[in-house]
This record gives sequence, structure tokens and C-alpha cells, in this order.
Amino acid sequence: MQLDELYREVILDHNKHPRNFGRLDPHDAEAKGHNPLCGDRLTVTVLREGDRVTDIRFEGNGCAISMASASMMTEAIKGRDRAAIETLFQQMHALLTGTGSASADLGKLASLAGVREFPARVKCATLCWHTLNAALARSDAVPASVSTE
Amino acid sequence: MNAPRVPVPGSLSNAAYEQRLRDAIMDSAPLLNARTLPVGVRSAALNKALAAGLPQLRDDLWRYADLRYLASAALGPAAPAAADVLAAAATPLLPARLAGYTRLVFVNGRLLADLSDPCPELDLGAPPLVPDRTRHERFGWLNDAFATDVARLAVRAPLRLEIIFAAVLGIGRDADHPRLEITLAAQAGLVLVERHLGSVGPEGFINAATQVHAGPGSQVQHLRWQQLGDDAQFLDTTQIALDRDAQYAFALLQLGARSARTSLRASLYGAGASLQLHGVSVTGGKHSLDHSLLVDHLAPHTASSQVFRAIARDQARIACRSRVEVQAGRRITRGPVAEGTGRQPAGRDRPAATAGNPYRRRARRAWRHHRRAGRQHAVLSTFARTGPGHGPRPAGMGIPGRRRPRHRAAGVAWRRRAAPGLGAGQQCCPGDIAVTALHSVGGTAFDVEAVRRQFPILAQQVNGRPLAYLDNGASTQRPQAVIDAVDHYETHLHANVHRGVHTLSQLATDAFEGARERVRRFLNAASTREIIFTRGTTEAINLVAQSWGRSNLGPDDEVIVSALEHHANLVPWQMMAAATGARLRVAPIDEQGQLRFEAFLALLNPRTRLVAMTHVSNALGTVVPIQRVIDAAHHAGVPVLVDGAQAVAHLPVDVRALAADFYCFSGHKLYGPTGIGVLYGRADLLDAMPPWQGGGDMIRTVSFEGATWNDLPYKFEAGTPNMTGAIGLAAAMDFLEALGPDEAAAHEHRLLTAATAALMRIPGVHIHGTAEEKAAVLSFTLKGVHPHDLGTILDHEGVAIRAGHHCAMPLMELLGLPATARASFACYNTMAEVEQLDLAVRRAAEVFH
Repeated sequence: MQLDELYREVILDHNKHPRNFGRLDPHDAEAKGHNPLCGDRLTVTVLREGDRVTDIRFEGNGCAISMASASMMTEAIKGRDRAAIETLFQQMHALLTGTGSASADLGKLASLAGVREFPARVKCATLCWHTLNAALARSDAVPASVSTE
Repeated sequence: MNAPRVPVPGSLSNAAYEQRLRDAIMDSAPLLNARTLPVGVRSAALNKALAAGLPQLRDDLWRYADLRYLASAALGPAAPAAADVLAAAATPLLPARLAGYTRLVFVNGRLLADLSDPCPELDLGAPPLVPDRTRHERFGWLNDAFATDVARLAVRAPLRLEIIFAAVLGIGRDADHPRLEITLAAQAGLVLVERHLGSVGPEGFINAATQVHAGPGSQVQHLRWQQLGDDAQFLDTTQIALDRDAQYAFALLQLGARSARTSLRASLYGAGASLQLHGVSVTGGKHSLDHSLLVDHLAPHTASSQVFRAIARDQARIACRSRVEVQAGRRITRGPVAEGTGRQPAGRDRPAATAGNPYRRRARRAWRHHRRAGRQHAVLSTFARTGPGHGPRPAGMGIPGRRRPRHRAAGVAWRRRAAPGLGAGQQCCPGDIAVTALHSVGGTAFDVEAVRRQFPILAQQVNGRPLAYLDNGASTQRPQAVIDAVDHYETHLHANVHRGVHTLSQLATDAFEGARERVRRFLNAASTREIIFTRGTTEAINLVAQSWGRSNLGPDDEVIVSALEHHANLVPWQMMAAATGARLRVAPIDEQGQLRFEAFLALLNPRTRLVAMTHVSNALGTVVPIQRVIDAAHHAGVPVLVDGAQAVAHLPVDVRALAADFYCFSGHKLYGPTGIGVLYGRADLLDAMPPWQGGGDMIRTVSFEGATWNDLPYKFEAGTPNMTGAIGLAAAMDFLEALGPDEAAAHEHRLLTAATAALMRIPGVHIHGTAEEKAAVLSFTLKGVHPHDLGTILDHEGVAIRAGHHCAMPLMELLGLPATARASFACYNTMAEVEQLDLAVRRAAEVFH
């Protein structure tokens, strides 16, 4: 396993220049995620139209994997409805845990495939997804929180 | 004043000397210009020189110096002369320029701007370094009084400097008092060539003084080259003070001089400071050269070495006397030992313990520690000389009339070595080559490869690279001796303890209780009743919190912790505070990660019931001045619990010397197994505490109505104990003692210093925790790279470190960091691994550019 398969250019780029970084105000839903193992913290804010996520931003700090994963996630899910996001998450989860392969749907997200060779880092990549799920599970704007441990 | 000329050689009485000085004072006032030392300093110095008088033969440090010629010398300042006269006289003497060096030329004490380069570091107006001199440095006082232009330098950036002190005596008064004062800022570097040359007549007298203060991490290479001709009398007083991790290499080249004397005193007052002294003296005729060196190791992990070579022809004499004192930490890594000592009356060679010395208590404690270990090298003095009747003798024979040293310190021995071609014991005087004093590393030098061979786990590869295990703060590896002890117990001795009448149970009990005795000895506790086995530090602290806390804490009572605490020394107290209504107070730290002691003192108040504090910070490596904490707390009548998890493998711990009330540590951070730890508690405190867990071993009698408790220590050991762990821990303590805890700690500190220096050179690296006194823990961050990514990349390069909050989240929050990367060293780590760490961090910086 080569290091550059984990730290691909696209991941390093998203880490250095995260897309959709910041906070949506006002927002329809918010959730905070925390990985106590490495101290990564994320806050996701979402604007919805019915079932569809029209806008999303995230803020926080963490390792390159968690930052890049969150950045790419926000790009991938913007405009999608809940069911499509759930499907994407399932595919992502399968990819990261090594039980599935990259499908065309994943697009750029597939660049995170290298993480599965580093079991200690899988939680870094999934933190944003768990946080997003927690945000979408709520019908009000009261912040939810999730911890990956 | 025209100095009265006395025939040479003459003798000078103290009264005459005093008179000469008085005359010089009267004469000198108008001659000194504004660029000299302040008048107050000068007159105080003269008074001191007068009071000290002339050195006597009975002054041990002066008996080999030849001062007869002083009678004929002028002692006051050099007479003023026009700069062009001085320049004309000095120019033919000046050597070729050294390429790349800034040159400064002083002639008869005057800075000659025309012959010198511009030098922004030279600041004639800067405040002088007013030295603190001893009676033996009386000629330094003379210099304080009579120096004219002072080469006063403040070095901040790397500098190569050539300073020429030329004496063209005979133009005016026949004395010169060259003076050099250097202050190096932190991390500054200086290469200094100091040349003393001149044309000096029989009455010439040069009295030089040098003060150097080297700041933290600074480096100096200093060559002093004395070549003043066969008529010169040269006296020199040098003081060197080295701060943390400062490195000073001093080479002395001494050619000729009718009489020369070097007095050098070095204070290594910052941890990690090191000093190398090298000297070559060559003379002939009836000349006499004398060196008197004093190296004072005030801080731990300081190192010094000395190599002097002397070549005396004809009737010449050369003497070299050296004294090395170790006042604190006493981790001499290199230093001369007594060979032919005996000048110290028995019992006198204790560390100097003067009031007001911040190291006094530690010095005493360390002294006791060394006494127990059978070592005595608090003061090492050595002496070698050559001249008629002083040919070399076989190494180790010592000097006639002096008894052999009883102890040989670790590290280095002074040897008198025969000249090439001369057999041992052969006389060579009056010969051409006489004494060579040199150091050699003794058999006790730390052999890290031999240590590594005892740890089978280290001989493996990770990700195709040799494992560099630098996560010792989390857990250390086990030596074969521990693995074998555990194996032996499980193969041959295991049964339940304290129960059976059968043989095996008795054997197991003996082994287990033997381990308890081993721990008692390790901590120097008074009794095995005070040694309670726990699962680890965490359980030990919980035991005290639950048992002592529950019965001693009430609403509004206070427990003081520090901002450095591991969660294990926070959460148990938070839980107990919630249960009892007590409050937790946090003693703050400064930006270097050191306990702010005054703020801690301010927290002590009549509501304070306990101080619970770490000995060494696991996240930053800070060594907390726990002795001072304990003293202050006891002064306020408050007991102290010490979390020693990170300390025991790296510092000598003596619970009775510390007067700790509770001391907790874990086996697996001490090269022992996991699942075993120790609570030391003072017997009277433990006696008064209720048990915290019920079950087997902790009871004496049980009925259905109630129970009575067993004696200490069993009262606190409910259930079948971890016999395997205890036996492994005892073996680990044996291992550490055999290794030499001081040598191991010094080795670890060298690794820490090297790693710190290496990482600081990498752009973007920030070191967190820069306490004066640190254990071998290096917490750092790399800009733009999260510690977790750093951890993964380093692992890929075979380097195991910890990345995260180190179970000290409040501390991380205080530092404003989500996490840091932490490399922590143990006795088996090597410089190669430090290099591997350096390269791996550079690789990480590359990956993330």
C-alpha cells in the first residue's frame, strides 16, 4: 500500500481548499460530529426544500481525510433527495469498509477508496456522513450531535 | 606612574603588592575612558583585589603558578597612546586575515577602528557583564578595574569573528588588560578566534578576562591562541555560563610565555548544556604554565569533557588542575574522575548545598540516591603536571603521596599517558614530552545496541522499514528478562496466593510478596505495608479518590490539580467532587508548559484538602518541581498525591525523600507488563482509610452481619491479585536498576535534544512544551498537516508515535490545539531512530507540500 493511494492529489486539494466550507444561516437543520479518538470536530448545516437538500455547508477541523471527505460529500449531495443521499452513503460505507467497489455514482468520492487499507482512519472519512445523517434525521433546526466512538 | 622596577626574578610580599595596587589606583583614574566599566564596578573590584591580596603557596589552586615576575610588572592600565602610534606598532605583528571572518583589533586595550572591520555585534556602550568572582579570581578583579576598551559583543545571528589582542608594551606602561564579554542570544552561533600576540618585554604583563554567557541552544566554537613571546607574563580569568542545550567548545593553544596562568570557571546551569575543553601547551626553558579549571554541573543532563596536552622542554613546568562539581541531577555524562585525588577530606565531597541554591534539595536527594547506589562522584578533582621529576607513570598509579580514588565515576577517566616510545614507568625528565592528560570513555558508557538486544519486539519491520518505536509515553516494550520472569512464574510457580497450605501456593505467595518488597526498595518506601498493587495508575488514583476522598472531602472543600493533568488524575476527582460537593482548582501553566508555581501557591487555602499533581506531563514532557509542590502543600498542612506514571522510568523516585503522601504509577510504562500498577501511600493515611472494594484478601473475618478488614496492604487488594503482573514488574525494576537509571535518562535526554534540534529545523514544525526541565517527550505539530495524518505518514515510514490529545483534553484546549504528534523516547531508542523521525516528518511535509 502506497501512501499516495491514501493521500491522492484530489484529497490533498480538498483538504487545503475545502468546498462549501462555513455555515449556512439561516438553516433548516444542523448537526455536530465529533471523533474523540483524534479530536476531529465538524458542524454541518443544511437548507432543504421538501426532501431535497438545496444547500449544505460544513465547518470544523480535522485530519486531511475527514476534511476532504466532508468537502467532497457536500459537493456530491447538493441537490439530491434523502433516498439518493442514503444510497450514496451506503455505497460510500461499503467502499470504505472494503465490502463494495467504487460505482460510477460516487464520482470524486471514490478517491477515498485508499482509506480502507488504513482501518484506523475509516472513521475519519465517515464522520461527515454520520453528521449529515443526524442533521437530516431531524425535522427541526435544533442541532443534533453525533460521535463516532 | 612609573612602576618601580624590581630585579627579576624577585619576590613580592603581600604588603608590596598592595602598595603597588594602591599606586595603580591613584594613577589610573584619569587614564580610564568612558568606554570602560562603570566607576562603581572598578572601585569595588579594586577593593576586592586588595582584600584578596596575592595568592599564597598554600592556596591549593595557585601553588603551581609562578608569580615571581609580578614584582617587576606594572599592574595598572596601559598608558594612553595615540591610535596611530599603536597602529604603527601593531601592524607588523598582525597575522594574515582569516577569510570570512570579521576582524577586531585591540592594541594595548584600545580598539583600533582603522584596523578593524565594522561589527554591528560590537556594542561598547552595552551594560557590562559584571562577573561574580571568587578569591581565586583576584586577577579578574584587577582586570575589572583596569580594562580599557572592552570587546563587548551581543551575538544574535551566526557570526565568525577574529579578535586580536595585541600588546605592544614598552610604548607606555607595561601592562595590558584585554577584556572580552560575549552574550549569545538563544540559538545563536559563534565561531571565535581570539589571538593574543605582541611584543612584550621582560616587564610586560597581560591580564586578560573573558565572560561568556551562552543562551539556550546557542553554539560556540572558541579558539584562544596565546603567542606573546618568551618574556610575557600572561594571566587569564575566564568565566563561561551555559544555558539550556548550549554547546561550547573551547580550544586553548598556548605557546611560550615565561609564566602563564589560566583560571577557567564554567557553570552549566541549563539542562542539556555541554562543554568541551581542549588545550595544548608548549613551552621550554625555565618557564611555567598553569591551568586551573572548575566545571560546575548545576543542571541535570549536562556534559563536559577535558583534554589537555602539554609539552614541556628543558626545565619547564606545566600543571593542570581540574575540578568538576555536580550539584544537581548529577547526571554527568562525560567528565573526568579523580585519579590521584585525596585532596578532599572524607565526607567533604558532598555537593555544595548552600542556602538559596534552587537545586539544593534535589542535590541532596540525588546524593542520597547515589549513596545507596554505592557511587560517589559529586566532586571530581584531578591533577597532572610535568616538569623535572614528574615523568609519566603507568596509568592508574596516581601521583605519589596521594591516595587512590575509592570510586571511579561513570564515563571518563583522566589518564596520564606515556609519550610515544616510552615504556610505562620510564622516566623522561628533564625530557621533551611529559604529561598528556586526556579523557577516555570508560566501560560504563551507555551501549544502546546491547540494550536493544534485550527487547525482542524491536527487531522487526513495519511497512517494510525498521520499527522506530517512539510511543513510549503510551507504553514501553518489555525486555527479555521481564518476559522470562513472567514465563517462569506461569510455567513453574503459579497458584493462588495467601490461601493454600500447599507448596505451590507458598511459592507463588513468596514470589508475589518478593515483588512487593522489590517495589518498596525501588521507591524507598518504609514498609511493604505501604505498597498496594493496583491495575495501574488510573486505578491507584481512583482508589485514593474513592476511599480517602469519600471520607475526607465535603462541600466546598478543594482539591488542587494542575493544568497538565492526564484524564486519570482529573476525572476521579471530578467524580468525587460531584459526590461530595468539593471543588476542583486548577493550577495554571506558563507558555512553556511549566507549572506557575506562584499561582499554585495562591491556590492553597484553608479549604484545600489535597493536592493531586502529575510528576511529569505525558503530553508536554514537563518535569513538575514536585518537591517544591510537596513542601509548599505540607507547609499548608495539605497531603499530596503524585501521578508518577510518566516519571518512574525516567527519574529517580524516592518517596521518603520527596515526603509524598501518595505516589502512583503503572508497570507498563516502566518496561513491565500491563494490568499492574502501584499505589504507594503513607501507612498512617492508609490505615485511616476505609476499603474501597470488597471481596477476598481484603477481609479478616466475615459473618453474615458484617466483616472486619485485613491489615495493610491487603485491605485494599480485594480479589485474587495480578501475581503475574507483579512479578513482571519486579523484573522490570531489576532490569532498570541493572541498566543504570541515570545513564538511561541521560541517553534519553540526548535523544530528546537531538530530536528537538532536528525537528526545529523543519519549516512549519512547532514544538509544544519547552520547559526548562523535560522528560524525553517531544510534542509537536507541523503546519498544514493534522497530527493524525502525520501519525499515518510516520507509521508508513516505520516510525510509531502518538497522535491525538494524549488523554489531556483540557490541556489541549488550553493550548488551543485539537491534537499534537508526540514522540517519546525510552532507553532502547537510538540516534538513528531520531534521524528516521526527522526524515519521516520531512516526508510528511513533502506529501502535503
